[in-house]
Amino acid sequence: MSMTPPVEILPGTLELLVMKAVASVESMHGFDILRWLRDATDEALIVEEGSLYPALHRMERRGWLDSEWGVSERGKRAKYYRLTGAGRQELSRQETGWLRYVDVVGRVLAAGSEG
Amino acid sequence: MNGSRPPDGLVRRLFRIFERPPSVPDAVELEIRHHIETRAELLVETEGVSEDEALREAERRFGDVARVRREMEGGEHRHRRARERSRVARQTVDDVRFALRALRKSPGFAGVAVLTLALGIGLNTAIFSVVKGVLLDPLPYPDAGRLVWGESEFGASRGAAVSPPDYLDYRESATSFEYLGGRRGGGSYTLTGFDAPEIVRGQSVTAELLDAFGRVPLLGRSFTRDDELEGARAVVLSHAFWQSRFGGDPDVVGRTLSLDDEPWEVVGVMPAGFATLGEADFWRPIPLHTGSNLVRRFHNLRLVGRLRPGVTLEGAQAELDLIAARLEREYPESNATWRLVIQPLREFVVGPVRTGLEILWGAVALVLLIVCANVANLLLARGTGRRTEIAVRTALGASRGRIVRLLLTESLALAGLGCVAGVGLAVLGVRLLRAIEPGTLPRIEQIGLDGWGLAFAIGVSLLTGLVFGLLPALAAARPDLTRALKAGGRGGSGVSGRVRGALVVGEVALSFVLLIGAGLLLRSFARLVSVDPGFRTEGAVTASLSLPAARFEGEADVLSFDEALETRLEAFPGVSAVGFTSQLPLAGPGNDTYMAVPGRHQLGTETQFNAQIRSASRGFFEAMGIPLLRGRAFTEADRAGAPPVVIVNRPFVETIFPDEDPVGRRLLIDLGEPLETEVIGVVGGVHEFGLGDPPPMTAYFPLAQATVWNQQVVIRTSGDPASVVAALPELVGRIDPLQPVGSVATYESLLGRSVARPRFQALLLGLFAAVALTLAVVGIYGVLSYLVARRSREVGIRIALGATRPRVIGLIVRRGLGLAGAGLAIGALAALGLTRFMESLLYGVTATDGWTFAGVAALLGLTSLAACYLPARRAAGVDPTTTLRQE
Repeated sequence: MSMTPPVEILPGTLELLVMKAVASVESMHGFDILRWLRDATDEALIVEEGSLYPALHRMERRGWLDSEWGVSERGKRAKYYRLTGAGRQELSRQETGWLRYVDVVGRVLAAGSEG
Repeated sequence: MNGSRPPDGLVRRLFRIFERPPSVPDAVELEIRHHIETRAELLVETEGVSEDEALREAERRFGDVARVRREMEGGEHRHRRARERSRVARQTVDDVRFALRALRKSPGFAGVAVLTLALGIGLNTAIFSVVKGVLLDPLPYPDAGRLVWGESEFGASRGAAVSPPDYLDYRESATSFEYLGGRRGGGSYTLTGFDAPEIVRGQSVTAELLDAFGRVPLLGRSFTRDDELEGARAVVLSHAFWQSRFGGDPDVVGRTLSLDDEPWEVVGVMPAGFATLGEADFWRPIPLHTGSNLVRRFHNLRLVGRLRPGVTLEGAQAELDLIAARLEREYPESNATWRLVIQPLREFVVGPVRTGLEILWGAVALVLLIVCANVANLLLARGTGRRTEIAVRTALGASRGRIVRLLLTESLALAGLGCVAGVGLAVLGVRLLRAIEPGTLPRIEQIGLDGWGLAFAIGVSLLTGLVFGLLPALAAARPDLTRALKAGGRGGSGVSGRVRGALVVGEVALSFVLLIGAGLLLRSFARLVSVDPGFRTEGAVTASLSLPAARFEGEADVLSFDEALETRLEAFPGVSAVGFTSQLPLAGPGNDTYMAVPGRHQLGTETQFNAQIRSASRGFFEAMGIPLLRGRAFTEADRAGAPPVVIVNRPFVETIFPDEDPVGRRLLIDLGEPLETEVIGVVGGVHEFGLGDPPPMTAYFPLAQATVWNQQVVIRTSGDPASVVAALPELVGRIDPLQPVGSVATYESLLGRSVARPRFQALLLGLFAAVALTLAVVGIYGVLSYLVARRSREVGIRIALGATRPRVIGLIVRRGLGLAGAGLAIGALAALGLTRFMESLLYGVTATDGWTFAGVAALLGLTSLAACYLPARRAAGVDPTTTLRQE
C-alpha cells in the first residue's frame, strides 16, 4: 500500500473516473460510486462528495448514463446509474485520451530532467 | 397511478394523455439525502459516533448541499423536458405507424374514408383559393387600400357617370385626394402601319388616372393636364402592346402610332401587368375642354381616386358632399340632387361576385361537414367492430388517454392522407375552375394554389380529423369492459347507434340545404334562359366596325360604306337582312339621354325622363328580329335633312304613352341641343343589359340622321352563321382594304356569355349538392346496414316467431325513413333561414320557392328510401336458424 498523501482530483477527470466506476458493475448509486473510487485508489484521491451528483446528472443528460430508481442494500430509495452504449464509447475515448496525455506529459518531464 | 382521483370530465380525459412523473425537487432531495444518510449510518457503524454527530460529519463531507441542490434541480428540469419531448415524439411515431398499419389492414374502409375526405378537403381548398384570390387578396396596386371608385347619384338613381365639368370641379376643389382621375369604357381603334390593319383597344382617361393607381410608367411619362387640351395626341402603351408591336424597343417614347388614321405620339409605357380595370392596349387622354365634354348634363366619366394618407373614406365623402352642394347651387338646372359617391375600389371590383362566391364557400363548408359526419360514421362503425380489441387493450392496462390518443392518431392519419389526396384534387379543381369559369370573375387568371391555400388545406384537414375523430374516440374509450368482452364484439352500446343516427339526420339536413340552394339557382337559371330576349339570336352574326373619321370624313362616307357592305352581304348565300346600329343588345353598356314630350314635360327640369338612345339602319329591326308593333320602320326617306323621326319601344310606350297611340306624337330629345322629333313607330322591347334586367325604354334614330362611326353590324342568315363569320373580314376588305372588322361572333355566343355567371354558379352549386346527396345516401345506407347487422339476431327471432318479411322490411325502412324525415324537417327549417342570403343571385324565383322545396324533399326522400331498401332486403333474408345458431 502506498503511503503517499492523497491528491486533489484534476478538473475534467471526474467524469472519466465515474464512468470507469459505473462500468465495473451493472449499475451503481452515487454513494457506491464514491466508495468504489476510494477503494480503487486506496483513498489516494480526494473527491468533494457533493460535486459528484451534478456531474452524474450532466452525464445522464449527455446520454452517457442512464438511471432508474431502486432500493439500496440498506433499504433506502436510491437512484441507480448505468453506463449506456454511448457512455461506453465515451469512456474508451476518454481513457485513450488520458493515457496519451499522461504519456506525453511524462515524456516531457523525463526530457526536462535529463537536460 | 394514484388510486383515487376526481371523476374524469371530457377535457380532463383529453389532457390525461401523459402520465406525470414525480416532481424534480423530490427526486434531487431524495438522491442527496440517500448519500448523506448512508454516509452517516456508516459513520455510526464504523466510528461509533452519535447519529447527530454522524449526520453533521456526513453533511460536512458532502460540501455545499444548497448549491449542489440548486445545480442539480436546474439541470434536472431541463433534462426532464428534453426526455419528455423525445418520448412524445417516439410515441407519436409509434402511434402513426400503428394507425397506418391498422388502416392498411382494412383497405376498403381506409379507401372510402380517404376518398371522402379528399373530396371535402379538395373542394374546400379549391374554392378557398378562388375566394382568396378574388375576394381577400388586395388589388395589385401599391397601397391599394387608398384607392376609391367614384360614381354619381341623383334622386333615387345610383351608379351614374360623372360629367367632365363636374369632374374638373371635384379635382380642383377636393383636398382629400392625392390623385383623382376619370375614365370611360374602352373604345376600339384601327391600328395601321403594322402588318394588316387591325382593331386595338384603347381606354380614354383624364390626367391623374394612371397616377392614381400608384404605378409609375416604365418609360416616359403618364398624362398631364396639357394632354387634356384639344388636339393633344398622346398615348401611353401597355407593356404587352409595347412588347408585341414594338418588340420592347427602349426608344419607343417619341415614336408615332397611326390610330384611326391619325398620328398619336407615344409618351410612355406602363409596367408589365398594369391594368386600369379592364383590358387596354393603350391609354389616350380625353379632351376635356371641347364639345360635349363642356356640358354638365352629359355624364360619361367614372372616377378612380387615391386618398391622401390618413384621409378616411367618410372624410373624403364629406368633402365631396360639400362640393356637390356648391355645384348644385351654382348649376341648379344640371346638378340638382347630383352628388359624387365614392366606395373602396376593391368593393367595386369584387362586389358583384362577392355574394356568389361566399355562397359557394358556404356550400363547400357544408359539404365538408357532411364529409366529417360520414367519416365519423365510418369510424364509429369501425370502432364498434374493434370494441373487443379496445376492451382487451384496456384490460391489459392501456389508459383511456392512451386509447383516445391512439384512435385520434388514426383519424388524424386518415385526415393527413385525405389532405394529400385533397391537395391534389384542389390543384385539379382550381385548374378546372379556371378552365370553365366564363371570365366573369375578376382576377381569375391569377388564381392558383399558393402557400395560403396549402395552409388552409392542412388546417381544414386537422380540424376535420379532430371533428370526425373525437366522437368515435371518446365513444370507444368508454367501453363497458365486461359487457364488450362477454358479447364478443357483436354487442354494442346504444349510445354509438344513437350518435350515428344523429349524424345521419345532420347529413340529410345539410344535404337538404345544399340541394335547395342548388335547386333555386338551377330554377332561376332555367327561368333566365327561357326569357325571350326580345330579338332572335339564332342565325344572327354580329361584328363591330369602327370607321376612322380621318378617312370617313362625313356622314355620307359612312353611309355609303354601310350601303356597299349591305349590298355585298345580301348577295351572300343565306343572308336575309343586314342592320347597323350604335350598340347591340347584350354587348355592353349603352347611351342614354333626357327626353320630354312637348306640353307635358320640360327638358332641364325634374319632369324630364331618361331613356336609352340608339342609331339604327333601315334593316336593323328585321336583321335583329325585333318586331314592329305599330307605325312604320325607317325608310330611305328618313335621310339627313329630312324631318327628324324616331321609333320607340314597347316599355317606352307603356311608361310615357300608356293610354294613347304614340305614332305621330312629338318628342324632345336632349342631344346637347334639344331635338324635336316625330314618333313614327313602335317596336318590341329588348333585354339590352342582360336577360335578368328588364328591357329599358329605348328610342331609335335612323342611322342616316344620327350617324355613328363606331358601328355594330348584325347579319341575319338562314344558312350557316359560321360561314358568314368566316367570310366577313374578306368582304369588308374588298370594299376598303384598310378597314378591319372586330369581334365577329354569332349572337348565340353573345347570349351565352350574358348568362355565363348564373350558369357557372348553378353548375358549381349543383355539383356540390350532388356530392352532398351522394354522401348522405351513403350515410343512410351505412347506418341501416349497421343496424341490420347488429339486430340480425333480433330479426331472426322475430322471423322465427312468425313475423312476415314485409313486416321486417317495414321495420328497417321505418327506421331509415325516420332518420331521413328528421333530417328533412331540420334541413327545411335551416334552408328557410339561409336561402334569403342568396336572394340577390336569384331571378324569377323566390328564396322560399315552394316547388323547389317540395322537389328537393321528394328527391331526398326517394333517394333515402332507395338507400333503405338494400339493408331492409338483407334483413328480410335473415335465416333465423343461422343467426340464432351463431350465438
